[in-house]
Amino acid sequence: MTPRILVAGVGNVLLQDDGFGPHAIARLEAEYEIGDDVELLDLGTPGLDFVDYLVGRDVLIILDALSSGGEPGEILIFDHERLREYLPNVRLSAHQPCLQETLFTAETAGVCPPDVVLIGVVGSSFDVSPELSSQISSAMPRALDLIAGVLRKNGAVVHRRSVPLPLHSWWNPTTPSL
Amino acid sequence: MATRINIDPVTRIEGHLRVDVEVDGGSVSKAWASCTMWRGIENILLGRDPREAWLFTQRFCGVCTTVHAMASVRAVEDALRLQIPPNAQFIRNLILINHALHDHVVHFYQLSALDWVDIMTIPRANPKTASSLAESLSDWPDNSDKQLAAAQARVTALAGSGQLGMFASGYWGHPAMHLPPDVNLIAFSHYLQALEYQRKALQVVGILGGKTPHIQNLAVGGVMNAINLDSLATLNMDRLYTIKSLMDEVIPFVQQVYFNDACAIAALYPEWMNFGGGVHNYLAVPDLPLDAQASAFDLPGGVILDGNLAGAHPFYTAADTDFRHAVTEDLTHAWYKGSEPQHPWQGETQPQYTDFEENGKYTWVKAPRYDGRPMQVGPLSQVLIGYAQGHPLTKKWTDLALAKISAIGKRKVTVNDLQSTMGRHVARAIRCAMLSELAGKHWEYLVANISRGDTAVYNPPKFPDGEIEGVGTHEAPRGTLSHWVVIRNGRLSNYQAVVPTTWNASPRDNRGQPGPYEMSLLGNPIADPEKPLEVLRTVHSFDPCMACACHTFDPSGKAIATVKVL
Repeated sequence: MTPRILVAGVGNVLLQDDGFGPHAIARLEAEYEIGDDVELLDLGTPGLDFVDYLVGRDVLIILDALSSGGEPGEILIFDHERLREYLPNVRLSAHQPCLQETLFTAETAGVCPPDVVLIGVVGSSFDVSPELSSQISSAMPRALDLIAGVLRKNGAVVHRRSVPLPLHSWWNPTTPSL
Repeated sequence: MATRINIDPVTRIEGHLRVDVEVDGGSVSKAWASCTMWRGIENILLGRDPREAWLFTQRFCGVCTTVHAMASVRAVEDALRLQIPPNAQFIRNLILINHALHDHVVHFYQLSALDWVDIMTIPRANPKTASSLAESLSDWPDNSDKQLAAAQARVTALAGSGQLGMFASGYWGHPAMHLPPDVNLIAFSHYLQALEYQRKALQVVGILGGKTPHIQNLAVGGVMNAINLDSLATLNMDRLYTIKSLMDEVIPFVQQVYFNDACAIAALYPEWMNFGGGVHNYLAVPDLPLDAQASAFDLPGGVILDGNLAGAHPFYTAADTDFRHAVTEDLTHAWYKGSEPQHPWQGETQPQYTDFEENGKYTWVKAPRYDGRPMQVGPLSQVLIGYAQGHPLTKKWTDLALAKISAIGKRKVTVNDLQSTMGRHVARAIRCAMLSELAGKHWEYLVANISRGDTAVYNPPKFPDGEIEGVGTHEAPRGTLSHWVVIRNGRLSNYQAVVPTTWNASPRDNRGQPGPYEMSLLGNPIADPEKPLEVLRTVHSFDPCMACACHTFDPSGKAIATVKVL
């Protein structure tokens, strides 16, 4: 059975704050106990294959980095209607089909989850490094709290673990060698 | 009077591909391809453990995750002269095949079909006549008038609601769009069905790889899939048959739907076999190794120069001696320090940004060269090289495609006509059909090998003191991929990825030779400079994927295509 709620972390963990989504997924896995009707997925930087992960979901929560729209560390929430307003134009490469095109394609095919929300954090640095900037790191607990709240509002069971599990993040330089 | 068109669709941080063309007398007279994002991610690998490199390289690119993981472990194994067990070869091959089936189908239906299919004509189609036409072209069961009517209703509803979304920005009604409404309806119906089948191929990758889009099962020395036919937690008979049944659904879609649609669209746009040839030097590496030694392959590789198929030069190993020595990267027109061509093992990636200077540096893409020549890579290269060598599977599907296109278009089409914009689409469909056959074959190889009692999947690597070099290749969906590593005392001291789009989107070099995108655009007709559909058709035919992606969502990002009269 496909879990009815998908939390999709998108972004590139090798490009600092762009990796907010995957970083948040790893932190959620370690710090929260979440019901099995929720799937947490680090989707990296998908193209239109994003659509393949939406089939059979009722709720899609996208975690992404934002390049503008506020101060670094600021958390913004976009509902589906607001996402629709930012339509891309001409597309050249397989990467450009961005979020809006993914959602539109899913709608055209009749597989778009009825509820879509994007939780974004404005980044400050997008250089080549697997570490988040200090502004995003300090925004992370607030972001996780907010995500947990959105999950609860959608009927999911979410508890904060009293003792977190080890953080599964292979990109972290402190992760022991394989 | 010349007109300059700049297509720079992203002002967002992820900036990817920018194309500039000059149009003179209704066709393209000059072209520049530029990547607007720095691809210096390799630097993050320096000093790291070579056994972990693949975890990082599969994040180079969000679409081509698996292929960068595979090239990376192969590069380290090459440096160590480390063979992997046959089971590991077959499991890797099955992952690569299914990844490619997914990727090719997505490219055709989701990323390029709308360059040729005018969906705004679909409300005028007749589902009954469309169904008869579709059934005359293919045995596919899902072409009934009912199914086509349902697809038509979707377009009509979208058009009626004003919620056209992505479709609102298409070049509908463009004079270069001329498929009959019935054909557009069939293609749109298959676009909807493709979503269902591409997902099944992805599920196979997920079962074998542990997860998608980032597989977890690789290791330098093999794979980490424990094999025990009786255990629930491992790769057992049940999982193997789940894979088989998923592939049994994908294969007919590729052979009866995608392959036929590509042939039909080629037949109905015959003029696009006259444009877009560009660079007629072709490069492909052999792939899908058949044994532990990788002494034989199911996909052929080699080199063709100046379009001379008769003189094709084959490669017999995954990284032929010729290939190891012939590859260099030129930095003359790329935003990096240095100008002398560098071999990837000596390659450096030190940025030197100047702004877009059409006679100077103008892109973040280096210019890979083979013996100093620009090369085209991708399915077309592999198909031409296989065809020239008389490779049976390549010949079978290529001849079938040529016969179909000739019959539908009532005009004789030859293998040489494939050296064109439309030829790249046809070749991708040919390759996909070949891979769909090989999917079943490699599944049988794996099952037969396990049934003989062989459950080995991994040979542990040992790193010597001192310096070793290696190259790992993979004939990826977009063409030849190579990762070049230098390992000193068990740590990475250099890492260079020469990716397919680097070959194809390459800028000019120190001798002024343009890259394949740039050459292929020359002479393309441009009916309306405000709507440069023809440029998109040729660029999309390569299946561009600018290495590495930054996925930040920018609420203020607005796309632009600007036209300027010179």
